Parts: sequence; C-alpha cells; structure tokens
Amino acid sequence: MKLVNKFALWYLAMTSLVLLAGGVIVFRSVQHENDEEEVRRLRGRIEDARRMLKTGTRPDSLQSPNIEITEIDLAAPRIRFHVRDTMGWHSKFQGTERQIWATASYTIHGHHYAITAKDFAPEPEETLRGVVLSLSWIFFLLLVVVGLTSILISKKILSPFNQSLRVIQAFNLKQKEPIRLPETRTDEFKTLNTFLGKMTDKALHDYRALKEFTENASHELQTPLAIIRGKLELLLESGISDEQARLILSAHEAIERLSRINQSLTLLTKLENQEYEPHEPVNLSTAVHKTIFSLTELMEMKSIALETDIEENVFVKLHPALTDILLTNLFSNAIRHNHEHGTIKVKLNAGSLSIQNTGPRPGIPTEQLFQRFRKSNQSGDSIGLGLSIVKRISEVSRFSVCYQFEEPWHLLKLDFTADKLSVAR
Amino acid sequence: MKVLIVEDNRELAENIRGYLAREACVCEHGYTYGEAQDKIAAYQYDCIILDIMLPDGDGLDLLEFIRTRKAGSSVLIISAKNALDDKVNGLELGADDYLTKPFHLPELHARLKAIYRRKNLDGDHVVSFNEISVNTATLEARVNDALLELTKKEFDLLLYFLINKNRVLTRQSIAEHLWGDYADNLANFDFVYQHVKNLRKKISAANGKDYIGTVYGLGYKFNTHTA
Repeated sequence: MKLVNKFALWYLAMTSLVLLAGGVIVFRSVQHENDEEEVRRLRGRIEDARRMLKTGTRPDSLQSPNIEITEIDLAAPRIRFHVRDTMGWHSKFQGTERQIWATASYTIHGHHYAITAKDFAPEPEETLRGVVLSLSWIFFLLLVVVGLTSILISKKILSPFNQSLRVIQAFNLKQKEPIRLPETRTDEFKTLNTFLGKMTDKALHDYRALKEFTENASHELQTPLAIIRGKLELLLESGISDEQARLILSAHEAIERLSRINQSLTLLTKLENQEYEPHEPVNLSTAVHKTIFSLTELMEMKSIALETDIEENVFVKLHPALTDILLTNLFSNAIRHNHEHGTIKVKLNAGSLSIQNTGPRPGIPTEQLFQRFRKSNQSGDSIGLGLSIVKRISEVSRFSVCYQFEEPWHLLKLDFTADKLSVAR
Repeated sequence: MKVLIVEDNRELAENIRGYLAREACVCEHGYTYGEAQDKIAAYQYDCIILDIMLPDGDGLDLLEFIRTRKAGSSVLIISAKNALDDKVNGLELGADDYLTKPFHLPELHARLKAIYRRKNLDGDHVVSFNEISVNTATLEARVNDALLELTKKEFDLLLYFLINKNRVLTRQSIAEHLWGDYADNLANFDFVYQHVKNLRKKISAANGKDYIGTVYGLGYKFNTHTA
C-alpha cells in the first residue's frame, strides 16, 4: 500500500471516530437545548395563566388544547412545578407525537388550581436524523478533499523520494559512476539522500577494493605456488635418494592441494561478489549429457551404474562458466562418495535437476554439508569446498538446492522454479 | 627449438628454462614488455611463452605485435588469470594455446611440443623412441610397426611419456594432462594407475620393452636406459 494512501486511511479513520463522537455531543446538546427551551415556554404559559387568574379571569375562558386548568381540593398539598414527557394526539398530523406537559398548582383567591401547559416537541429521532445527515455530508466532503489532496501531495512532496527509490533500485555494484540523487528541500529526504549517497559510494569503493584484492590474491598466490611446484619438479629430476623423493612428493601433493583451495576460494569470492550474473539461458540438457560423457570413464572405473531420465532442451538462466563448474561438482561428488558397483540416478526436467547416488551414510549432520571445509570424511582427499560452491552458484543463479539422505540414497536436488517465478515477476 | 620466455617473475622463468634446457631447447628471457619487444624484433623464435600480466604492459598487446611482424612464432600464453574472457581473447588474437598458472612443467613442455608440431606442417608428425612410434596426425601408435589398439586417453598418455622421457611424472600432472579441469574434482588417482597399467600391458603384448616404471611409488617415469 502506498504511503499516501496509508496516511489518508488513518486520517479518515480518525476523522470518522471524531465525527461519531461529535455527532453524539451535537445530538445531546441540541436535544437538551430544545427541551430546555420548551420547558421555559411552558413555564411562561403557566405564569401567564396564573396572572390571568389573579386578575379575576375565569378559568373556563383560559381553557385551550394547550392549557388545562382544574380546580382541586384546597386542602390538597400544593403541586410544585414539574415536567412530564409523554405522547399526545396531534390532530393536524393525525398521529401521536411527543408532547411535554408542565404542571403546577397555585392557591388564588381561595381556590386551588392545578395548571397544566402542554406542547408538542420534536422527537429525538428527528433530531438524530438531522445530525446524521449533516455529519454525513461533512464526511463525504472530507473524503473527496482528502482523496484529491493526497494524490496531489503524493505527486508533489514525495516525488524526490520516489526518484531516489528509482535510482537505488537501478543501483548496481558493478557500475563505475556514483549514483545521482535528485535535489530536494525537504529535510528528511535530504538526510536520506546524503545517507544513500555515502552508503552507495562506500559500497562501490569496498566492492572495487575487494575485487581487486581477490584478483591480486589469486595472482600473487598462484605465482609462488607455480614456482614452488616447478622447483619441486626440477628437484625430482636430480639425483636424489628414495627418502628425499618421498619428502618432495609429499610437499608436492600439499602444494597441489593449496593451489586447488586457492582456486576454489577465489571462485567463491567471485561468486560472492556477484561477478557472474546469470544471463543467457543455457541448454542444461546438452551440458548434462556433456558432463556425463566426460565422466563416463571414471564411473566405469568404479563400476557405477548410471540411470538417466533427461528431458531434452531444458533451458535455465545460468552463467556458462558456472554451468560447467556446477555440473562437474555435482557429478564428481556423486562418483566420489559412491561405492564400487553403486548407482547414480540423474533426472532432469524443466523444473529441477536431481542427482541420486548410493553411498555410505554421511558422517556429519546433513545441514552442515554445505558449509565450507565441512567434510564427511575429514581425512579424505577432497578439499571440502565442492558443495559450498554448488550452493553459492545456486544462490547467484536463484535456484534452490537441497540435500537429503535416505539409506542408501543421497539426493541432491536443484530447483529452478524459484528462478522462473522471479523471471515472471 | 628456440624459445623466448616472456615472464616477469625470474624464478618462474628460471624453472621453465631449467626444464626445457634438458630438451635441447635454446631459451631466452624477456622479463619486461620492452625487453621482450626488442628481442622479438631482433631475433627469430620458434615459440614464445607469454605471460599476459607484465609490469610495463599487457601481454595481449605483445601478442598483436608478434602477429603483425609475421614472425611465424607459435605463442603459448601462461596466465594466473583463469578468466574465460582472457582465454578467448588470447586465442582469438592468434595465440596457439593457453595455460593457467600454476601449471606442471611436463604439461608446459607437452603443449609446447604439440603446437610446435602443428605449426611446422611439413615437419614430422611422428614422435618415436626405439621401437615405439606415435603419429600425432593419424593418432596411431605402433610398436615395431605393429599397430597398438589404444584408447584416446592411453594414446595421450603414451605421447605425454614420450615427450617427457626420463622425467618423473607425478600422478597429479598425468591426471591434469588427461582430464584437464575435471581432474580438480577427482582427488583419487586410482584411475591414473589403471591407465598406466593398461598402457604397459598393451606395449608388452606387442613385444615392446616396458620402459614405464613406477617412481617412489607416487609417480611414473619413461626410462630410456632400461637394460
């Protein structure tokens, strides 16, 4: 919901509450004033009748539908002025209407008279109807005015804010230029824009520094590694004893490992820096066939049976360089963590790719398998970054990836539908 | 074979020179862009090993310079950048091959020989030693003129051994030579053992000598001095 609409709705809700309370107050006071006025008039009439009686006017001549004079027992106690709210027949309207009676008794010239003055008064329902009608009009007017102004105000006042939003949405860490935010005279927006400007500048700067560091680290580490490796290879060629050779070869293996870890970490960092945006859709079916083909030999060596159910022409948005890394990681995992005469099942369709393989129960909780350097077999040859890489690639390509183990099947499933949804959106 | 090594790191250049020196290769160094450019302008090289990250220039520019001079040298790019773009750029600009650091010296040597063979079209496609000969054009391997039935991998392996005779070839280096990037994910080297075993069996079956020996239990060596 838009900010302006929220404001307007709250405003209207508050206004209707106030109008409701105001309506009750107005109704009460109008009613009260009316009745007060009526009683005063009736009191006046009784006063008039009493004065007339005092001057000697006969009570009969004063009788009318609005005034009633009856003589009561002289000994009866004097009736004090009091008011009764009742219903009376209205001859003109041919119906009963609200009527107010005021009664008082006086002793005049040795007679005791009870004087009752009556008058029709407006009923509370009628007052209420009037109040509700007028308040409804006020409410309607407010609605129109608030609605119109909110649209206009949102256009005018919020326009710098909306522009900033658009700029931020278009912001990309890879862009070379700092962002340009619109000029504004509103203090809050000024603060916001300054903050956004500073933050994105810092992000750009940090991103560049990190990228540079990654590239340098990769280069600077690979070169000495290459030197060490070369020296060891040259050393192997010289006349050395078996014992020395074994030492050199262990060192050589450690260097290999170091170099692989370095490459994998560099790749992970690049993935984290989002250097590989998923762009063109790639034909995953072809890529899967290719990967399987290149690894067939290794499967045969372990006598692993392969069952495939691959739908042709499945396209997903994925960076081509990542496609290879992803598939190779997945399949070589399925081979490495398999046992002799095991089975690998591959299933690919438009929604997902799942790879199942037989293999020993994982040695660590399954949720830790995607973490870096977490290995089921700590002493194994693998460097423990394969699944982290799979996870990262899935993340940057907006797939979801999950792992399940159900004796004896390990299942790794990539779900592409999350990607499809975001594309549709 | 005359080789120019364009590499700013002296130690790395020295490694390459040290390895190639035993193969009757004449190696010269160019440590900087300028130095390399001068040498390319002045002398003729069969092959140029080119690092594309140089302190005073881009190796890719040097590649263009080599191409415009039509010197006829083959170019092998070595780079620490594993970036796909660089690879494609380099090959498009006319490099003959691309190798990512850190590489195995036997691998560099094999690549160098391969592009050298490809360049010299009138040259010999046959690499041979005593009774074993390998034809890289027809992909045929023979022992005493008897054709060996080799798989593609076994053929590559035999060629790798023949080019790096009397060298210790580690299992990693063989794995990377045969499987390329896929070797990264397969730390188990049993399959190297399998291939070497099969190759030895096939050569012996064709009455060839068993030149390939295990070294220190961790690598292999093609021994030319086998009695």
